[in-house]
Amino acid sequence: MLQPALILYPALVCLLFAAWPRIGKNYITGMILRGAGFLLVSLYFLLIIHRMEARFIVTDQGKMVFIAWVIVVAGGFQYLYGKGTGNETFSPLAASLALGSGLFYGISDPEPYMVYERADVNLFFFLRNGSMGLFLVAVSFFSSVSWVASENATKVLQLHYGRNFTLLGAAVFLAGEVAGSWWAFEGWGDPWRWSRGFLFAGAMFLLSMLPLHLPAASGRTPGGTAIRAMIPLIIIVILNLM
Amino acid sequence: MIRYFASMRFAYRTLIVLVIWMCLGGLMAGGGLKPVFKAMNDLLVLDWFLEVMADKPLQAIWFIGFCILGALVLLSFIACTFTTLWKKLRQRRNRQTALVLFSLHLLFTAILLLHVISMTTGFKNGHVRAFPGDTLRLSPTRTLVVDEIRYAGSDSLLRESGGQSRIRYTRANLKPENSFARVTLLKNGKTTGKGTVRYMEPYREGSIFVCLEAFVSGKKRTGETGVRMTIVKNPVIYPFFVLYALSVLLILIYTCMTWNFRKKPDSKEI
Repeated sequence: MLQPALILYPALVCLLFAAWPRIGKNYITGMILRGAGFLLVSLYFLLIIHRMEARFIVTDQGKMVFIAWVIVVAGGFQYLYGKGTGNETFSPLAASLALGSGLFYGISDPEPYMVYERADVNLFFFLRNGSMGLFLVAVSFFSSVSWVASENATKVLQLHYGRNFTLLGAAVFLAGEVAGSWWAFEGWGDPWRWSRGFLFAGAMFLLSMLPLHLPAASGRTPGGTAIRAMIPLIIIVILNLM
Repeated sequence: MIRYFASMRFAYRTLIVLVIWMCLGGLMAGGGLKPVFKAMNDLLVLDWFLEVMADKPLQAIWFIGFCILGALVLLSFIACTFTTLWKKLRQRRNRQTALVLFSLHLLFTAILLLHVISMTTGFKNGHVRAFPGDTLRLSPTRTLVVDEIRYAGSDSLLRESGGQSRIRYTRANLKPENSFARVTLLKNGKTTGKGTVRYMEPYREGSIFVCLEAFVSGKKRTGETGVRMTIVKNPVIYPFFVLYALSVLLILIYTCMTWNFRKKPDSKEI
């Protein structure tokens, strides 16, 4: 039940989002399809809450599917309020690629280890991977500043949305780390450990702060700012996969 | 000078160097220096540093660098909060947003200070193997006695060593209801508390936490089941989590408050 649903629901939502730019001219059809899209997203959200446990997304395949889902949802809401940023095609594209990978590998069903029954452990894995989806949405905005948008006003708007999703991603990431710290504390008596995972996690949070602390250098173009903001976020996603 | 420490340029550069330093540490901790880094988790960081500084020069240099960079980030936080952000707070424009941003930086400053306090106060005895009847000395005044250990899980789990315990125990192979340790905490020889500790269910007494990491077999004492525990006293643990939760909340509030453009787009803003 769970495995086909993991693939089918986001795939349907992807299709709807992909179709929106073409059907947007017809107000009523657009509204119906948007409503259907929200319904599917809500259903999928309920499914995630009730049926999915962290043990599914600790696998690489599960991780990819979950990140794709976050991209779809975040990108979908952004499309609704996107104010014509020209960035609508990223979410379906990225999510389709990630889901395609999930389909190719299939989702394994790991052992029901006891730790995955804990709320803090579930929160840690969901929020961390959720933040990766949000960072990727931010990357899509920053990348379109450099390579898609032509007008300066649009570029500035794209930068602003990139910054919004970076902030949102940082908050979600930090919330996940707090949950993970509580897990570590109850498990091993310490909210912080001197290990590869914890040091990388700390570095990832600091990296998410970099796009928000770019010095205002005179004469820098929006494209240059976007690239500087994008690189740390890409490194975060790579570190998360390591 | 303070203006430089409060600047975005200083914050940005310090963050980049700290990120590189942490990744370097992460690579060292995941590579050949894994056992050396693991030792850092067994003691209070201050005690570890005073004990091993001479024996492990590479790790000691890394740790000193980490502390210096952490101090620079703290300096940047304090300088920026009480100069630039304080000025913004006193302006009439966007006062609510400025207040949230000011509070957020203040919170992170407090969190950094709590990290320093938690590294230097309390005590820690990490990954200690104990068997029934063992007495562990935690600090000059505190001791812990392991009264009883019961284990109803699979024998194969006792033989496994290393690896992640999170991908070892299931309800079926551990039987957590019947696998636990009973412990007694003493202060200056007088009992202050007794309790049961299970896997992922620590025993708490004030700011002292007794955590059961795993069940182990006694190599020399065949047939006896022991436990691997970490006993820690961390007086700032609750404020630490409260401040982190508050900072998440403030970031979310700040994100909501600044989601839309309310002013003329400025290419310098990100």
